[in-house]
Amino acid sequence: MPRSLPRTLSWLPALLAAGGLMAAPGPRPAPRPRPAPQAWRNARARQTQRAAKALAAIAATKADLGLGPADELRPSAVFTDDLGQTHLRLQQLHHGVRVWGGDLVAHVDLEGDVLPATGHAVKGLDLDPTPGIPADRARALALKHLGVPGDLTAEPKVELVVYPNPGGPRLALTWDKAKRRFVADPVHTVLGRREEGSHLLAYHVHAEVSDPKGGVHQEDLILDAKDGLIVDRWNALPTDTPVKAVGHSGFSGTVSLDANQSASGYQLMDTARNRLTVVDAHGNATSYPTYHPTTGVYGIAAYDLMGYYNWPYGQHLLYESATADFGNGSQPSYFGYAPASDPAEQTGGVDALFGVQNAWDFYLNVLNREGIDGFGTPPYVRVHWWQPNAYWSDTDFALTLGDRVENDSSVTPFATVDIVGHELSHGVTANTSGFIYSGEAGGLNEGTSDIFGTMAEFYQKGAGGAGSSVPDTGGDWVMGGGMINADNPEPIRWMDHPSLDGASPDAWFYGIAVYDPHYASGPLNRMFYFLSQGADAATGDHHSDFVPGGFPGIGNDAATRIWYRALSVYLTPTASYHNARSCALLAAGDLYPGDESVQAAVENAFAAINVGAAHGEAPRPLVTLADSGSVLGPFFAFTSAGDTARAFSATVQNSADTQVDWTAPDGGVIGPDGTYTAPIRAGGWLYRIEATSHADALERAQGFAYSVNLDLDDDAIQDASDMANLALHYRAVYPTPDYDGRDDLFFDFVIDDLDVAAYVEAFNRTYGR
Amino acid sequence: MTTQTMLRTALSVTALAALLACGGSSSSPKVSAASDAKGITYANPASAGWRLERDPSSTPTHIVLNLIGPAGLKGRGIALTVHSDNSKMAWGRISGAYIQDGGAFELAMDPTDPNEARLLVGGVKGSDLMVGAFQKDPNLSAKPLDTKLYSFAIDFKADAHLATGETIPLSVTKARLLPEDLGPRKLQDVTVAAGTLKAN
Repeated sequence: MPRSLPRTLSWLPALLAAGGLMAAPGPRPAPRPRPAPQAWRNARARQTQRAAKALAAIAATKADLGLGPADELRPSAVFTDDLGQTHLRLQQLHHGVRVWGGDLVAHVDLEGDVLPATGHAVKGLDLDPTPGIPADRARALALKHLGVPGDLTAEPKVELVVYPNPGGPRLALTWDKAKRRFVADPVHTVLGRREEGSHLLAYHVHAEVSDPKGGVHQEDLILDAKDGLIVDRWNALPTDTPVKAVGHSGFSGTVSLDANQSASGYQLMDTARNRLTVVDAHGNATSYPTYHPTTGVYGIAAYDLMGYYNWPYGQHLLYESATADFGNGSQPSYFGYAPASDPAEQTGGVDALFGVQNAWDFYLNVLNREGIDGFGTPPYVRVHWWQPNAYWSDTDFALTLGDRVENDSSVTPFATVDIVGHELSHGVTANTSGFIYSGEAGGLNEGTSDIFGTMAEFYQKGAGGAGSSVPDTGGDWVMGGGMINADNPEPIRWMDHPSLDGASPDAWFYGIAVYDPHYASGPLNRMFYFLSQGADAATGDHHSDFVPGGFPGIGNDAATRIWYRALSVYLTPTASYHNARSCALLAAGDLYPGDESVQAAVENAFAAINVGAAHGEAPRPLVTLADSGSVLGPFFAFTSAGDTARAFSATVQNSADTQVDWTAPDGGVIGPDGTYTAPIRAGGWLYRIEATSHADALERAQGFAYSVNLDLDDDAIQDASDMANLALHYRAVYPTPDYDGRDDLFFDFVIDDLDVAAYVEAFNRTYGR
Repeated sequence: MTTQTMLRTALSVTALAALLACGGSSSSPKVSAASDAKGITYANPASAGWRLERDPSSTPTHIVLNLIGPAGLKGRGIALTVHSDNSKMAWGRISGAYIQDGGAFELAMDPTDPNEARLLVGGVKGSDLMVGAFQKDPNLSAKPLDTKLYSFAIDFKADAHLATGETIPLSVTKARLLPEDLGPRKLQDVTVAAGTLKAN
């Protein structure tokens, strides 16, 4: 059934009456006026009491939340925002153990009335909090199975948590540029066993490793506290995708920098911004400098890594100059990094510090945020890292900007204004919503950095980095646009049309959580573009089939404020795209009360990426799968010729017609009832399975069948001789070629003792002892 | 009673009468013949190469077979599929498992750690026994194979009612060796000689 008419007709007349089908800038909404100073000061002064009131109110609803006597809601942070609302973040504990995904935010308005809480509590827990193995054993197991080489840069963090049961293997996908398709990420795909129960007691281990070849890794592993089996993991390093380009000089021409003068000269260190402003009960503002918790430096400092990789063991020199002039607009030679006093070496430092200062000012002047953590703590910036990449480290409280080598000669640092703003915004996210870097929340995390990195670019190029609003002109809607050149004609990401990269989806669908956050961010980026600039009715980059008639946007400034408020006030670490929509609507209501056009814009922007209904539209069919990352013949389950089928099950909500059409675009056969039969192929293979709603051909869910067949000798049974493959892969990182000449066995998995144990356990389970 | 049920009852009675007339019984269990075997015997094969040899710990109802390789050859592990007829025998266990390590291979990095995972498996699928042991670490040296590599067992099946002297089929249908040279990254097919298994 064509799906466009019902959606279009509900609001098309109003749009036509408003002036046309092309996305035109809509009226820019006026924000809610700030409360009277005295009212705000009163609210701020009574923050503790107001938080206690919110806590008491939510504690009274524990039973309604499904929480039992062993559950506790412990405050983790409180703040009072510009509107005089006090927000109390709460962490759910079960027998004193942190519950993963059990995060609530309680709210009190200016008048002291308790507002509905947001977030999520985990119901019905009944777990024994006693781990089977001690924390140091979990730490040792995690380090043993990191799967990435290198040295630890900090002591790993180990925490006992109540974790959602993955229920079996967890797929992680990455984009294979050569094959132009997603493949399983061999290190971060977890081939765990299936457990009973909704949650399990687990250890969360976070480790950071510096690798001479692969760069910095931030690895998060979840281990079953019963016996240490890894049940989930992800790479938490927020980075950009490496691209290639020829060299440029500095990205922003001649800029004015806040630097530091010392006895010996000048330094690329900004001591003007890292000041926390505090307003006392009488409205008096005082400002004092803050310092970096590790370095103890009172300033946002830029250091030169000179092409070294092994921070903090390699070179890192503060940029210094005899005069107040830094850089010369050119870049250093790849073969000859010079000392930090060399002008060409300094050019990257200038761009880096300029980008940080701009992003800092953007947050302060537009969003009234004191730096990354809200307390003015200065980050430091490491420039000319040897990798063609960039990342934020919350542990180091630092940005690291790598170099792209240009024709084996000069280098270009990843230091454009939007990239620096992107990395700094990862720090803001870590200190607000705390989005984990996995699943849909990982996409929201990455998208948030793209959004604010881009808005920082508009703020700089359109407003000169000054003023309290974000203009609609001056920037572009791609990430890393400043690094585009003839040899590297594509940006890192297209925010307005993410799928132009060939990998990122333009819209949400059930199953997107399995994608790498850099790709799962696509829909959020596009939502933000639509919210700001609107969508076209005409087919093109700015058209959405989900809202085919188009709609007007509300501009960069309002869109920025709405998303920042959703991020900082309402959203929680494991939020989904649908949570993002509901929280954005709450934020819009707070900022633009009574302005239906803003609410409509938010609804339409999310609807255009298939999250929720458009303004005035009935709820859309929602297709979900019972198992989005299904495993066909679970790993080591000894699939044979007769064991290659698995039944998928789809649910359709919001529609009387609950039928779906099943497709298997990567091969195999899927029947009308969702029973999928994979091709019989030795090795590990990934097959997409899609369920499309009968009622609406645009609504679909995507899952994966993951077939691992160790039948290396093609005798239709996985037996003891096939076990030899584990020996050939044992502790080998990326072995080549594979046993019996097959390329895709295990996806080149690194086999370790946990895999051996899982194999033996599965063999015994299948064939007896 | 309807016409149909009456007809069914009549047919049943007729069938029972015919069965009794043929000498059978409608309720008595099968009675063992006087010549039923009480155990099993195993005669080693003549081969000096890959072979299955009877272990001295065997009993008349529980034959333990050792896998032994040829002299002068080294390897890192081997897996077998051994075929018999599970209507005439049963795959037995040694210390509760279908396979017992012979100690020739270094299956664990730390032999003193009983919890370390080892590539040692034994299982049954129908009439087939699947057993295997491999050194998981390719950095360990290959080991001489002319010794007891591992053992498995065959149990006498009393309710099979075999005649004394009846031969029970036994053959190694698949044997794959992880050789000393890992360069080709391939297993080698080998032939393992099985002896003669008889009811006794």
